[in-house]
Amino acid sequence: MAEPTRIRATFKDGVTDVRMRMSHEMESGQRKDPSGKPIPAWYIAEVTISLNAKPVLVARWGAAVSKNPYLRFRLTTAKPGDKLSVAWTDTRGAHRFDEAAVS
Amino acid sequence: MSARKFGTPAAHVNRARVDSQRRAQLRTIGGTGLYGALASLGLFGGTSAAQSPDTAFRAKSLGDALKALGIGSPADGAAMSIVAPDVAENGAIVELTLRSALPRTDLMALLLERNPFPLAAVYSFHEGMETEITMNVKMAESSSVVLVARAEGRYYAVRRQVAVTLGGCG
Repeated sequence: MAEPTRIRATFKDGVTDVRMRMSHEMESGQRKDPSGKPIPAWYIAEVTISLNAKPVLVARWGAAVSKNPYLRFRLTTAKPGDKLSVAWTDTRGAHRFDEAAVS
Repeated sequence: MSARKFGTPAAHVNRARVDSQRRAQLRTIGGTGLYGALASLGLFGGTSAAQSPDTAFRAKSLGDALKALGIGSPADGAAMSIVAPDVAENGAIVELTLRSALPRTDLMALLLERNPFPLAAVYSFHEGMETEITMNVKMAESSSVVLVARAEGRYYAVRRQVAVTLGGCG
């Protein structure tokens, strides 16, 4: 099973700064192995970020997102104690759900 | 994707507590659910023929990707910005900050013109999100980075050149 997404959400002066790092190989499909065979694409294709179970950001990714995807953004409606969650699905149908409290 | 395919939650998350949250999210993150969410924002409608997100992500040119997204000719996005290095030493990790100060921006699309598949990401913003995202992308070679934003149903774009020393796709 995939490693957890690391999430840090810090509230200050009405704005919550969210930083997260997902754990995923994010194979673009452009690389070849040592024998010259193409390595198939395998990457996170959908991400839903929710605040207290309500989606705030929905992302659709192609093959160009870097390995172990990093994401940073800000929320204006969060407050300390709120639940921030990240759910992703990759091109093989695997998925991951993690959450953290806003501090 | 059926709900059954979403398997077990992370071990540290209490299953009962998480189920109601996951139901809300499954409605959005299931394959058709996300497409539905984006389609309901009118992304794939408008004046152009609606196409699936996959078509846009498989497009091999900037123009085809924009066409597949149903984006005609975006207006100049003066209130938008892309923060990026002038020169990226490692094309495998190029940090970009994408920003739209246009009021009521609800969607952003990022395209990397000279990548094999230019469309890199589409973001749909809901209430509470500031319309600014920092992310890392792979750039195959020096190229234009294009940010398209939708605000009140209209599309705007800004473009920025990023040079890449060591290509990051292959």
